[in-house]
Amino acid sequence: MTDADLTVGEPMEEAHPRLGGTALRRLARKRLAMVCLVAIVVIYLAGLLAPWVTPYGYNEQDLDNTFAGPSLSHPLGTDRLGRDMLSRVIWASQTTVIISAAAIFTGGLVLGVGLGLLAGYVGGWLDNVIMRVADAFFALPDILLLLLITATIRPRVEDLFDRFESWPVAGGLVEAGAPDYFLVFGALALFGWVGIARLIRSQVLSLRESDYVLAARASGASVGRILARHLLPNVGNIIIVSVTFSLGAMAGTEILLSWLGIGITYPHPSFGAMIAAGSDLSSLRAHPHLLLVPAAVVALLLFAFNLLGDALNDVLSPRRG
Amino acid sequence: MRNLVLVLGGLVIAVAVVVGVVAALVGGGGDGEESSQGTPAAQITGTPSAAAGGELRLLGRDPLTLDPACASDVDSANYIVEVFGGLVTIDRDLQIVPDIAERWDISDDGTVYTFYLRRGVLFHKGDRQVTASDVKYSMERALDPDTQSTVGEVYLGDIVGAEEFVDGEAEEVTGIEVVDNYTLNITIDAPQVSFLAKLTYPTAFVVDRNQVEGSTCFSGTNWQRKPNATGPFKLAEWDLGQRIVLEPNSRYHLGAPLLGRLVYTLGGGSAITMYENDELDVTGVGLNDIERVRDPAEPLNAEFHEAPRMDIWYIGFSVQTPPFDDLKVRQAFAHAIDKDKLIEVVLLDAVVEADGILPPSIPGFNEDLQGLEFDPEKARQLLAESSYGGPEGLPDIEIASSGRGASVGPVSEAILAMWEENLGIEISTRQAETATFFHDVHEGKYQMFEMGWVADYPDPENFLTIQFHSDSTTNYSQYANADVDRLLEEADAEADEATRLSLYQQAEQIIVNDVPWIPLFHDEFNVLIKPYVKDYTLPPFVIPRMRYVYIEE
Repeated sequence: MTDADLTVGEPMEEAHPRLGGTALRRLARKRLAMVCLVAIVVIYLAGLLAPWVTPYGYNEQDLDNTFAGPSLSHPLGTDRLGRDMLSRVIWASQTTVIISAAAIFTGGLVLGVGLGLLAGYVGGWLDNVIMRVADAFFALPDILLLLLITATIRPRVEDLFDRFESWPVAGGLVEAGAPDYFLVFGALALFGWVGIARLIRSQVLSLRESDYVLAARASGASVGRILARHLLPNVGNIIIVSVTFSLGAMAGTEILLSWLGIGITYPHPSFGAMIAAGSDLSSLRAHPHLLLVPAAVVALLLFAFNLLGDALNDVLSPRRG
Repeated sequence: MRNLVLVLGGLVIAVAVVVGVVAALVGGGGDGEESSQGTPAAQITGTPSAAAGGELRLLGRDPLTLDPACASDVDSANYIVEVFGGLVTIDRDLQIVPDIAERWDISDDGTVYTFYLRRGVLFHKGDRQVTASDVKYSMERALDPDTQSTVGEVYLGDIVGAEEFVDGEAEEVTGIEVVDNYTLNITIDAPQVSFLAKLTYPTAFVVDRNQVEGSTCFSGTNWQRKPNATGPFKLAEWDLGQRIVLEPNSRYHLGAPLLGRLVYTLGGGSAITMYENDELDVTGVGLNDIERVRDPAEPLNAEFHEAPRMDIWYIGFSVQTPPFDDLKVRQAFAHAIDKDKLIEVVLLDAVVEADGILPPSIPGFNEDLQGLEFDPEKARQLLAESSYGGPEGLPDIEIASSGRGASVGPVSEAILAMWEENLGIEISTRQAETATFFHDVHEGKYQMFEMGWVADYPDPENFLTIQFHSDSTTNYSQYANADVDRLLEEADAEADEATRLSLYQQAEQIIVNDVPWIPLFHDEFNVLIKPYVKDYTLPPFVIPRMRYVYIEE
């Protein structure tokens, strides 16, 4: 115990490789992972910068120029109403980016990591409560419940937002279709925390017994400080890998909900709605680009998240570290 | 009230959804034959082969109901007219002809109808004959408030005593009088030209009292799986969401059907692919395929048939609800839609533009009617002049339609984009499942809604009085104009055809100017029919027609 002081405030940097220099270099050597990373970054950036990079608005129709093939003014052609496919894809990416990022931030990072750390470190009845709730959520078929939630509580969410409409800042949000977005990411976040929380908790269960945590505790560090300074940095790897995987899953679920018509709805663009509009056999035969364009982007995004997640897992895995 | 939904989506999305929808569109037939009133009744003529039989395979949708007292939509009516029958029916030439009634007399003042029933009209099951009291029972049941029909009063409300009966003040409808087993008197409150036509609507169809006793539109509906009725076909099987099978009633009093079986597939699938794979004998053509099928070089082109429908697609406003309580707002919305473009580009000219309410094929169609033409400048000006002062002053607006799925369909999306572009208004959408949608439209719950209406019989009364008279229970817009009411009442009772139609035309012009609806277009049949299917007619509205069809070996 005499050298406990030395370890206080110095988490075991080397116990697990973190996404520091070496790991990054190792990742950079995986060509496939880098391709995936680039694809994700491009799609995310395009989505975030949609208002500035899209040549047309998402509902800007040109009925004199429908079903056009690729051209200089419309690189990916136009749809049934003469709307620019490239612009719609970029706007749809924005929807996916906003929803998946918001769901991951609230559900994954705040709820998942927070509850995982608490349950693992504090233990006792708190652990019991958190993990039993997690078990309950885990046991329920999430897609089914997501359908139920998004399909049934939409009017109530809209009413709620209507109340804020007169407020200066919030009013603008409502105009922008916030209820839809809020509903979908809220529902996703509700289920998104369970997996991450479980992973974090199991890791913390072993970490809490380590010497440096004991030392921190002995020297009077508060629970908050131990969680934030000692435990959080050491579960960073798990967070990075699982967030990467879940971002893909969240994006996929949002697209599925919108495809079913209970996610993001008109007038806001989404991949799900685009795919649904282009996906019957006759339309595919007559105008394949209506389906292929959004489907290709979605496939690229989901594959990229999964392959990148795999690569990160390899790089950061303690077994290989 | 035969409401139409989804055909918009059907025409347009042509996905799984359409498949069902197509059934509503499905008809067959071909060389549009003009009947005396200028009402085209397309049909393929031929001589039935001696060997009757064969199976006809169609696409269908689950009916909302098979109870004739409750039917208010095309999908339900399509089956009901084949399985049930009433005193009178409409034939392929769109004439009112005898069914259970063999003949009838109308009193000189035009208010008393005496029906002489055919002897030996049998129910499907057993050997029970239809008598006058069965007819009276069936009509009273449709009017009975306990049955909860939304349409009983619309079609039977002219009968003397119907109102008292509906209000629960009378035990029976005094105007329906059983003289003897085969004679029935029906007295109506005022002479009305279209009354006989109203009796061709399912609310006047005969049901088996022993079977339906105690059932309503919403409870005790199990009997609908095996209805006992008098129509040309018997319902052999209704497997919800799977299929409906009709089998011929060999004892049918107007001549037994020629088909051996009629199978409606209710599930999903790509309609035209099923047709091309010989899994269907008739199918509607969706927008995605229409250009291919129209191409003379395409083999399917030889099997392609087009025929007009007596219907109207429209956007309805609730004229009591802000912001559509202001005439100028409604006019602005109407002037902001470029219908020419919509029909040419989005609907590929598969429909006919509507300026007014009445479809071109109906008697009384007005060539000179002044519609509200596309004029974005005027639209903006009207909106600015309205009590809301412009787009910023408007409350939130939501448009309702029937259906589900990720998209409200290209027609709606195109219109919404036109409003956004020309008026600067962003409108949100709400979709509801068909039965809920009809119910909520009926309750006046929507600010604006998209819907269709198809004729029950070829008479302007069926469009104008039923939809726009302030007393009508199917006046979904809650539109009320005393002048219109007066003109419609006069027209309904007017015996002289020319005067009558001119009164309807005057009323129609006022209605169009008041914009309770924005008329969009009149639909058409775009149908593929296998060459071996003969005498498959494409009537402009729902009539019993399957008994004429036969399959050529």
